[in-house]
Amino acid sequence: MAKQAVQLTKKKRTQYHFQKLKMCKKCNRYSVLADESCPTCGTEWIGVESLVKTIFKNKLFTEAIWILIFVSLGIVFAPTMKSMYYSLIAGLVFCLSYCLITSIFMKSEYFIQLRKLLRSDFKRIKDGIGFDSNLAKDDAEEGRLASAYEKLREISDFIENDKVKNRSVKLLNHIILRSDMELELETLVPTSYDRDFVEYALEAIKLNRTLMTKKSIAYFIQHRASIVTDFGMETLISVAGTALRMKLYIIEFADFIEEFLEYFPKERLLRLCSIIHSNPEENWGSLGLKTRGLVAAKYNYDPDFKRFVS
Amino acid sequence: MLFHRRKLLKSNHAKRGSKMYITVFTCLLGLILIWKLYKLMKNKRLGDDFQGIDEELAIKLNEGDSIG
Ligand SMILES: [Zn+2]
Repeated sequence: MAKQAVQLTKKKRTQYHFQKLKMCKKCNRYSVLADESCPTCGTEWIGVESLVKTIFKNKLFTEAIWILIFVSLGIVFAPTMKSMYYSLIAGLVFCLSYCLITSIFMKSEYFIQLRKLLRSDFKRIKDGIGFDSNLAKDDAEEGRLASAYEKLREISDFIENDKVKNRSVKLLNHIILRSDMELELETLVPTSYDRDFVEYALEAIKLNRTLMTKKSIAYFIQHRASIVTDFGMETLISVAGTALRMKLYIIEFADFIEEFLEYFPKERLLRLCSIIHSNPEENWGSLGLKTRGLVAAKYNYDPDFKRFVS
Repeated sequence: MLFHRRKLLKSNHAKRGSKMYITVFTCLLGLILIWKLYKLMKNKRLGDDFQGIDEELAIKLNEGDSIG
């Protein structure tokens, strides 16, 4: 199957994941997708925060009605004119105090209401995400790869399992990746060996080396035997090369880098030398020794390495 | 004279009743306010950890028959 050239939209980010939850009041269904309206009935989604605010407002309104009824009854049934005035003043002071303390504790009350809603509607939220997942399946089957991937990308904020990750990488492997795309890697790292993931990771790091983070490098090291069998030794050399991106990674994966040192292209070795050279206080151990030895043997007269050869 | 005393007694009685009414009514309002404040403080102690809501949701959504 030929790869599809598609346009991926930028992922909308929120401070918290629950802020992505929305509901169709007509279908009584939750969703986490980025669509503006419900695909079943076309009704505009209501964000979970708006939903909570509405519930919260209704609760406050009901409380206010009860208070007003109580205070009014107190005033109406006052036996004398004087007690009626007293009741009126007491009622007013009470209402003002009630409003004041409610407004002071507004944030924590909103939080309690939100948690209550998410707990009581949990089953419906799960069913809604399941429905979203089926929509992504339909998109994939009908060849709308970008739309299917974008749906899975939103779902994966809530559902973190290998099935969703594998479906995402399978879709990405059928898309022509471009450097202007907002690609992800760390969030797709599965718990066991997955050929599709490695295939995608190798494509993605060709476009953006910064995608290779600690978790991804550790994955390649953990499954190195299967990766070498399926993709060859070159793959590991390239991954070890990306680990030279940061001093922290070099220290963390020193043994892994050391193994492939002699296979690194000049530019990668130059990068390693420059990091070692600018951090003399760090204990580079055998990696430092081997790097110096290699430079002395292979690049002794290379002007680019002149400052590292003493 | 007797009529006057009776009137005075009645007026005193009404005054006492009115005082009692105001006291009971004010106490009730005060109790409602204290009860409300207690409830609000109790909820406040539970915190406003929105990150915790995210974590709880993730744990619950990922346990059991997971979506895939
Ligand atoms: Zn709907």
